[in-house]
Amino acid sequence: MKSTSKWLLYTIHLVLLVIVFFPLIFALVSSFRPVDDIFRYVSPISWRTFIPTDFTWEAYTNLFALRGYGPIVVNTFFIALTTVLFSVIFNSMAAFAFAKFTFKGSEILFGLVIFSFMIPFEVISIPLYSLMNGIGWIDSYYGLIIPGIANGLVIFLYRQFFMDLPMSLIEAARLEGASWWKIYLGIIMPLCKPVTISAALLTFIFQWESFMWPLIVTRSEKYRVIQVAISMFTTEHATAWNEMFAATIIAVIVPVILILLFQRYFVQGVANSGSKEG
Amino acid sequence: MRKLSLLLVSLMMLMSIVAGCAKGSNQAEKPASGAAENGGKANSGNKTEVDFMVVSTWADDLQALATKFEEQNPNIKINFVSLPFRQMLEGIEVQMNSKKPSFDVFMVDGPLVSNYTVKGFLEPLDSYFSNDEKAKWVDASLQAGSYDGKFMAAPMNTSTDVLYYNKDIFAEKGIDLPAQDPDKRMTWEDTVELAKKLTFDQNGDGQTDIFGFTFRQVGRPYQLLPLANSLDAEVISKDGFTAQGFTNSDKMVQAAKFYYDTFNTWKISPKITPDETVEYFATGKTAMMIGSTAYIKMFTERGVPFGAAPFPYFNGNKAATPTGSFHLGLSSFSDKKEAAAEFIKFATTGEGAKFWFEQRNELPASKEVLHFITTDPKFEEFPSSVFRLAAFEAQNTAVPRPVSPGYLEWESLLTKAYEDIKAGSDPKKALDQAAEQSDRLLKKYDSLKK
Amino acid sequence: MQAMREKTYVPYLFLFPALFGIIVFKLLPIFQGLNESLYSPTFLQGEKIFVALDNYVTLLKDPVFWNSVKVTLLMNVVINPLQIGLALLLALLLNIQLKGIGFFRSIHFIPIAVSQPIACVLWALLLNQEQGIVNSILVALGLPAQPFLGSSEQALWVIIAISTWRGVGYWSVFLLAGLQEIPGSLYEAAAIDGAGRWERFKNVTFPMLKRPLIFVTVTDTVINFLMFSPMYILTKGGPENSTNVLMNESFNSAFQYSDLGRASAIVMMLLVLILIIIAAQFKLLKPKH
Repeated sequence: MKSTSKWLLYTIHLVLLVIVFFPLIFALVSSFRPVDDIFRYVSPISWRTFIPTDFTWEAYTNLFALRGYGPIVVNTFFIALTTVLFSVIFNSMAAFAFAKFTFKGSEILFGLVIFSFMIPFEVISIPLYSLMNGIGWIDSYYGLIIPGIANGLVIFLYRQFFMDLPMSLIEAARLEGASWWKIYLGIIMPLCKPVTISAALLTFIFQWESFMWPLIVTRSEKYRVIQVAISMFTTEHATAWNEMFAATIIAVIVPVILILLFQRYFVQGVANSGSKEG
Repeated sequence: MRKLSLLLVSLMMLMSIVAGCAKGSNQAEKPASGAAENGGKANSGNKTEVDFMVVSTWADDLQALATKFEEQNPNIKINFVSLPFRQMLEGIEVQMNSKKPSFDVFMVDGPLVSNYTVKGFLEPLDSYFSNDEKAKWVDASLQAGSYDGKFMAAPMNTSTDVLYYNKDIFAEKGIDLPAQDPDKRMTWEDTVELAKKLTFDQNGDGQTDIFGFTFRQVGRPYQLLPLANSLDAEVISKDGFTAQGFTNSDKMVQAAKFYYDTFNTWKISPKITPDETVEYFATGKTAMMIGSTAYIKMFTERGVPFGAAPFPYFNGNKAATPTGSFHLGLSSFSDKKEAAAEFIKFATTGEGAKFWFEQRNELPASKEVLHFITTDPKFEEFPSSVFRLAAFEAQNTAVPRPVSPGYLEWESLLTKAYEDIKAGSDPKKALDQAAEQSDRLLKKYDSLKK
Repeated sequence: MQAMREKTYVPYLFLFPALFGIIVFKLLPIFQGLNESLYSPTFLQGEKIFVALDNYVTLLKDPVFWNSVKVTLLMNVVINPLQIGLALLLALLLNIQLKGIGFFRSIHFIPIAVSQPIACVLWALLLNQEQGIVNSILVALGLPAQPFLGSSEQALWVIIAISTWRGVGYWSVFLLAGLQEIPGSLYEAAAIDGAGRWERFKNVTFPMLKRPLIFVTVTDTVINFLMFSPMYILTKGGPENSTNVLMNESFNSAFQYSDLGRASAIVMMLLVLILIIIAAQFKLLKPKH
């Protein structure tokens, strides 16, 4: 590659880097300022705008000590992890059936699965709310977790992967008298770690970031999740700007770490879902 | 194959156990703040737990009141569900529509009493309050808590607003301080002239740093309707079903134009949200603010150099000040109505009402406490003297918000219109649209017309 | 088909939990919503009454509803091509081998971790009319300060920009994965045929990328049609209803205007609209067999 075009590419990459990071860096920096300093150096712009002069953890300690962010973070983790656990098990089971069996209605049922992931939560949230109402799951963990478990996209992801597994593997096990459950759990699942990781990651992020559904289905503080907590923070403590920035950093840092850790698998899983025919 | 189905069943069970455990353990963690379980077990230990839905800005003061109540009623425990104002309104809709006993007592803004009554959210309180007890509230508040002759929600307090000003900023610009005496009430025209002088760029960066004036509740009809009331406008039809021709009348538009000018013509008000205004005033970024008496305590504690003057009026017109009572409602789906009513009674009458006034500093709805303010010498000195001013306004100039079964819709739309006007929309156009849409949405209440 | 034919109930057992969830929590609510949209609330009696298609008829005569249709369509006509186009460009850029490209690729994963509500809260602070840093930068550059979310002309574009900031990296991951699966031999063959850069893109890259592109296009469209949190958090549909998309009007109808029937009718119409658009996208992009 010519060195001029190489430098051009680096320049583009750097510009993009600034665009992506600017708000996050500003949030990070501001979260370490005392509240009175937040806007003090915003205008006119100087180096102080970007470097905290009075470094303090005050915003973070306030969030956990005064605003109850500890339980909120734990709650969000609990909801996301529980969903991930059941989502991985149930959806991969369904995918196994779709990929490795011929049975009556399989096409219609798979059609329903595809249809379901084109209808995201928001569109059904209000009728779903009435349904939850009927079961009595409003303001409970059931209401937050269970509707998020069955996920067409995750079934789809697993199915793509299972279809590539050779049938001979299963046939051999069948001849040795292994039960279907054993084949699924002992042979198939251990082979598909990358899919499991990317499915788990997708589900985790989906639940960690969900906003409208928790907003509708829960009201008491006991079940508050981080996204809703932050949106309420902006009205309740509209001028505790440093804490607001700190809260966003907390909400962002968890998925960032997970994504960076499992990035490789994520791309693999995603490649599966995107690039092959359904 | 049996194994498989067994596994499936046990998985399902595991699922409910995990979710169940989580419920249990979380409750154990936070016994103090958690609301009672949906579906409500009424007793934990020997205590009846009453769930109380409150707006978060009031939560601390209400907690103090609840503690006082619990001292006297050791068998009852008050749990709080606290939400920001808008989310609280949505939360009430969501949970009441579920027709389940989710919370027992909730805060009801006076004008919403009729809306909540027709939607079946409120349990009538007639059987819990004697006529003597009812007669102890000022008439306007009692009326606001009643619908169709039934007593639906008990008034905790009423409210009124004054014009706060920051003495330091006035001194910096060499401007005389406004008088607190209602006989020397400023006109809006005077107020704007002052505000123009008090709006300036402090650090020379070309952006305004200190603003002359703001409403505490930017965009909310509570503080903005008195502008129209000063011009003697009727803000909605008498029966509360028709907005067209009222909400967009010439006088309403004229008042809205004034509001528009504060932001867009004179630029004396910062374009901020109602959540930011108090902090702006308290930190000296705004020289004058219209706000309720509830801030006196906070401003004093924080050492804000503040003073107070009467709510202004339009030159040549009458003085009109905002007022509105806040009530406690008993959920019609509550399964602990007795205990809940006990708390409501404590909070709104006698000793509880007085404690509440001292705690929250909103103008009381109880005649006894009002009498205490107008007679006790302790209210002659500033800042307590501001309560005397407030009491005067409540008796002489206060104009309550209108009554309509569709108040919630009407107010939402009007708030939206005021927000647009702040952003720079034509006042007439914004109010026309609000009135039109309000009439459309209020059609569903037609069956209530007499 | 290579799959097995075994005892007939086995696959159903495997399917049951997930399918049960999908049917109960995804498909049933659609029918429930449809049902709800045929009712209207009544007052004092506490029962809702069957009104057939009244809610729909009322909506079709309601200018606020039509404004929401307009805003929803306008936003989507802009945001979808914008996000998908930028995602494609970014994917192509990230596919060029360069020292340290792994680092640059990782960067674009970061905004995925920033949820829509968080992105809104964050940008709202940066774009604050009175003391936001973006206005400070504009003023420092000698440009006039902007109202951003406070202006009916700018608010929708600001929301589009915020969600594009957040979305492009995510979608480019899918496209990049697709690009990397294109065998190098195809490009070599094209190069031997003397194809230029554009022709290589048109004849090799684009056709090979169609499947991920369909996936991205359809999913992104659905997500954007249902976008709600920026309006809820930032603008509440204003100024002048300029950001009052259908989802927002539906939410308000349910929880502010006490009218679940109206809310459900809006959602049903939105669903039909989305399905029509998805069908059209499939038709346009589907590879020819």
